[in-house]
Amino acid sequence: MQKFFIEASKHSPQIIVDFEKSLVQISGRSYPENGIHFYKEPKNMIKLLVDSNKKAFIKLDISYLNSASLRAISEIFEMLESAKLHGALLDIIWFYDDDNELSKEMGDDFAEEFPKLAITLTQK
Amino acid sequence: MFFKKLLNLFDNKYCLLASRQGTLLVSVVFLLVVMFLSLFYTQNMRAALGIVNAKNAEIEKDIINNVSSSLKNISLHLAVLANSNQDEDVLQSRDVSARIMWEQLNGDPNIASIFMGDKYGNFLQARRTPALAIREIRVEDGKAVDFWEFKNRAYNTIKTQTTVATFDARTRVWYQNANENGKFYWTDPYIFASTGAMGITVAIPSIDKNGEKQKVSAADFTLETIAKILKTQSVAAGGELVLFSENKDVISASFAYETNSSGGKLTTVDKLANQKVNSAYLKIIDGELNGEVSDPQSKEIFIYSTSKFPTIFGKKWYLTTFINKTNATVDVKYSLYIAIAEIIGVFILIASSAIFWGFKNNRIKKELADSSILMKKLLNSLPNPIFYKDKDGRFTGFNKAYETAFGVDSRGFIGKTVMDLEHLPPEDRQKYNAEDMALIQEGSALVREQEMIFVDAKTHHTLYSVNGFHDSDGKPGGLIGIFTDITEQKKIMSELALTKQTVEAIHKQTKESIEYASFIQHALIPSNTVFRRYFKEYFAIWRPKDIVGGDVYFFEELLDGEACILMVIDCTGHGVHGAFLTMLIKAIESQVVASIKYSDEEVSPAKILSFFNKSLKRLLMQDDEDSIINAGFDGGIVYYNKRQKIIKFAGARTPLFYVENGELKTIKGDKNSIGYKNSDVSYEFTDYVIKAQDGMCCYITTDGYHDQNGGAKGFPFGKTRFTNIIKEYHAESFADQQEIFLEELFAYQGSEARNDDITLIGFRI
Repeated sequence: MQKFFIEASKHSPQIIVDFEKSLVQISGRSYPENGIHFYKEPKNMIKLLVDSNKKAFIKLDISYLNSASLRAISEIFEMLESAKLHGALLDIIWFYDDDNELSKEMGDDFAEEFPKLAITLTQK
Repeated sequence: MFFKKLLNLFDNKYCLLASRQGTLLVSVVFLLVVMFLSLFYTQNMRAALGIVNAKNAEIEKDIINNVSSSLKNISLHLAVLANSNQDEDVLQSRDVSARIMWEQLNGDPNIASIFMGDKYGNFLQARRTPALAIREIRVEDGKAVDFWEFKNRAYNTIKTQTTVATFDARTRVWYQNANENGKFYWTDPYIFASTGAMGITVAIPSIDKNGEKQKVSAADFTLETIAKILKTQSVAAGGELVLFSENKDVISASFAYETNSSGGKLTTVDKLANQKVNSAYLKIIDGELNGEVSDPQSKEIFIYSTSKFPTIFGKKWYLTTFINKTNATVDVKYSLYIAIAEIIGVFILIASSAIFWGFKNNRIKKELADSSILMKKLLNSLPNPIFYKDKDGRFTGFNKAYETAFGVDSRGFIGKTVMDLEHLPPEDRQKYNAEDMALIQEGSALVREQEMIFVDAKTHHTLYSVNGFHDSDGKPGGLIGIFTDITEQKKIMSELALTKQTVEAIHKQTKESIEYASFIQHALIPSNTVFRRYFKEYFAIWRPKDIVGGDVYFFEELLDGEACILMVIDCTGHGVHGAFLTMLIKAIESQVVASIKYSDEEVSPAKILSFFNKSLKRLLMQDDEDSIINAGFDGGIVYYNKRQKIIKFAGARTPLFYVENGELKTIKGDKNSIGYKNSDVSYEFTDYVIKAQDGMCCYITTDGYHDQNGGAKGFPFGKTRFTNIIKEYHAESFADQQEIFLEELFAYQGSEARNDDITLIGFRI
């Protein structure tokens, strides 16, 4: 597998898991009808990537998360944390827009909740 | 190489010359050329004759002028002479007469001699030949003496000569014929014996009252001048000139000829050595003044042109010019050659443009044929049955699809009308015919759905389109008919319609079901009237996203109206699954409230939250690893004790906003959600206590309000905007505030869809 890709839709974000470039990218809005279902496969893909022992770059640029999505992202972070503990090299960036309070808030919350991941907040 | 190409041109089956039309064209052109050439030739001939005629006229004029002026002079002279010598005797006052004669002779070179003769035989003459002399014949005593005085120009006698007279004037023609008193008589031209020159004698008699001729005065008038004129003109004309009279006498000619000088006679025409004149003479006398004559000797052909003189000498004179045809036609021939060359050139031009045009024409024909083939191929490759008709409604063609669909051989129908189509019902044929003719006339079209029975004996739904058209002159051209088989489409459409109906029915059912379910959920929501008992003012906005939702709020009264609890809960998700959770929460809540009511413990929102947490986790079996569900809620619990004037608040990811003394304050609450699989089951929430002052405004909201997407960038509304509204409008009535909150949200939302359920409650202590 070279690249896992989900196209963005009205309610769901674009997800790229690029195995060649060792890159994960989630961008857009996230409020799919079934959040659990939506993030299941991406989560597996991301796990696959970070387990490959290469340094992984994870870029998150999400302007809105509904509660289910929030949960799902949290679970992904939990999984990343565990991977890091097992030696995975991770570079996680959370992008936020200055006009979007929520995105900054979420970034802050995640950073706080998962200190081991050393999530960097970057303004877009 | 080029020549080969040229030949190829002619071999080429597209070549114009190979065609019937081509040959016709070439023949016509050839004929025209021949006609033109002959016309041209004739014209040139006429032109040549014209030139000769003109010349003749000139010469004639010349001669006449010359002759008439001389004649005039002579007449005058004779008249003078006659008058000067009234005597019957010519020799009376001989010297005077001689002198007069002398002057007259020298005054006009055309006068050869001037003289008088009387009835006695006397004769007096002034003459030029053989030298200037006065000649006198005196008759005395029966003897006639011929006395010659040769004079010089000064009228001095230089020599005399006397002989016996043999000459008797009275025997002469001029003497004898001058019989009318006072009238001039002139002779025919004759050769003067003395000189051999040709001339005329003009005489006038003097007749006495008894009718007796006394004397005759006369003058010899030479026609040498005429000869000179003719000679000169012949050179100019490049031909020969002959002057002859109607009685065959040749008066003069530009060429030398033998004269019958004995008897002073001229040659007659038929005696001329020049035979052509001979031949022409008869024709001319006959009236054919112009024409062609051939010289019997040399066989050369001559063009001749004649002028008829006015009858000045009592006889008709003719002046004819003869020009050798070959000479005459020399120029003509030259211009003829040029004309021929031009004609050939024009012919080549016409021929080559005809060939080119024919070539092009054939190419156009080929292109037309090719496009015809393409058209036919196109029509036959289309799956739609197509037919076409001419302006009279006769079929001119069908495509393959038509033949296949209706199982007919179209060749049998060409030229026929729809009335002859037996595979159609008779009444239909009538209808089609009328329709088609109308469409052809107007050049209009019509489309309709029509059921047709095809060769498979099945009824096919078709889209029948007939199009009348006008040709390039705007006149009715014909009609094209096209069938499009839409049987499949119709089937699909009806299936689709059916499916749509079914889906709509199902959807309606579902919607009705949900709508009914919403009644149930509504039942959970407290009526707002209960708020009244505790708060001065309040509003409660509860807007599920999809009829039913995951947001819910509860309001319970405690301690006989002393205190109350407000719970604002945002369950995972929205819609039906969210609503299910709210039912569950309600069940737990009932339990909570029951336990509080029957407990002496102080009410602790934090503890309530913990209770929810434990209960939910247990209920949804989220402790089990295999559990797929991960559900819970965020929310806040506000406990208000009226008597104690306190507010206790605990929040799970839900803050409480309040305005105290015009200042906005926030109680953030805990960063822990309720329920959820991996959350800490024994998490302890925090109670926050604040004094409940009069006029204090409190606001509690789920994230649905401030997370609503909208604005220019489509970002969430934001807590800042939200709190700004509180800051600005907290002093307004809560009824107004409700409106404002809603308006602001909707304005921001714009065209965005609603993200989530909204629950926003505000009250004033």
